[in-house]
Amino acid sequence: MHNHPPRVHSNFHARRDNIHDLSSMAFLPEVVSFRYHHIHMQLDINNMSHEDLLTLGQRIDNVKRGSSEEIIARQMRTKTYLLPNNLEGSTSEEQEINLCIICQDEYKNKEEIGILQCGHEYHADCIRRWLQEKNVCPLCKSKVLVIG
Amino acid sequence: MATNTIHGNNESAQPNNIASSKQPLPPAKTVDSQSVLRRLQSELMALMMSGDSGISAFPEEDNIFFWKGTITGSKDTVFEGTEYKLSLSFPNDYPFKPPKVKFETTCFHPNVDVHGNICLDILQDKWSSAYDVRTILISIQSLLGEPNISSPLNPQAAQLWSNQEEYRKMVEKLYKSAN
Ligand SMILES: [Zn+2]
Ligand SMILES: [Zn+2]
Repeated sequence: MHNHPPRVHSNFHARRDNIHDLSSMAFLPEVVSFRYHHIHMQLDINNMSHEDLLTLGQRIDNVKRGSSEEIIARQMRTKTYLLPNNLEGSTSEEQEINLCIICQDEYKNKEEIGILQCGHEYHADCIRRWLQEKNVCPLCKSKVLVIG
Repeated sequence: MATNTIHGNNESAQPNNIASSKQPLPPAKTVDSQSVLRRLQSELMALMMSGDSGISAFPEEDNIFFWKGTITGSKDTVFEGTEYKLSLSFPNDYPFKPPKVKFETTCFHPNVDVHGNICLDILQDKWSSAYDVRTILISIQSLLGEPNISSPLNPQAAQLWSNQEEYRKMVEKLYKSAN
């Protein structure tokens, strides 16, 4: 993230990219979670003061944690689970999956879901914790992270 | 317009690294004993509902981290009709680490040593957090009938395995003296 220091003159789109970085999420368009989306909509960098931007830059650094966690975060898509009866954007795909095999708990409304390259889904926290243990998908055993 | 709404915490979807970064970040995610407890409880429920034949398990009265299990030898194996007690001891970071599983009943098997220790990959390096008590017991049950002869913990059992008739006699003899 030191490659992308906050720049006062950066335009909105460049900033949006940085925010993807700062939230450490590798998004694909169809799974952009609405809450980050919401923030993007409201964040108007061009009108932020220099001080605001410095604060933001600090936060970008704050979000950085151990490198393995960063790798995990960069290579894992996430979405927000919405209960099927929630009109705010549930899809049929989300209705089918309702159990995290790692903790064996049902997904609750608005919990963060992590999606691996193989397509398997878990609670984002559960799979992050597992990936610190072992770099394989718990279900299909495919290698998850490309490290180095 | 006042625009830095990144400070604003007007979303109900929490936690959020951006909006909550005023507080120091929590330490790297560890497993709280509460979640281990919840998982063990739901496993117990699932086990009791499943009605699998030939396997069962239940926690000790005062310690949900310690379970007693039983498996019955499958039909058409030299272990048919014999029943084995096992102990399962769950670590505080289960299911990220596997439980320790041991035979409590003597089991004459190529991959079980005299202390009841089991050599089974899914309990060691092939462990996955998607496994649970049920899959462990089913795996051990099928290990009984399909031992890995090439790396035995009990060489005598491994040697005798090729003679299934003699092996069955040995199983019966040891089983009778143990029960
Ligand atoms: Zn979970
Ligand atoms: Zn997978």
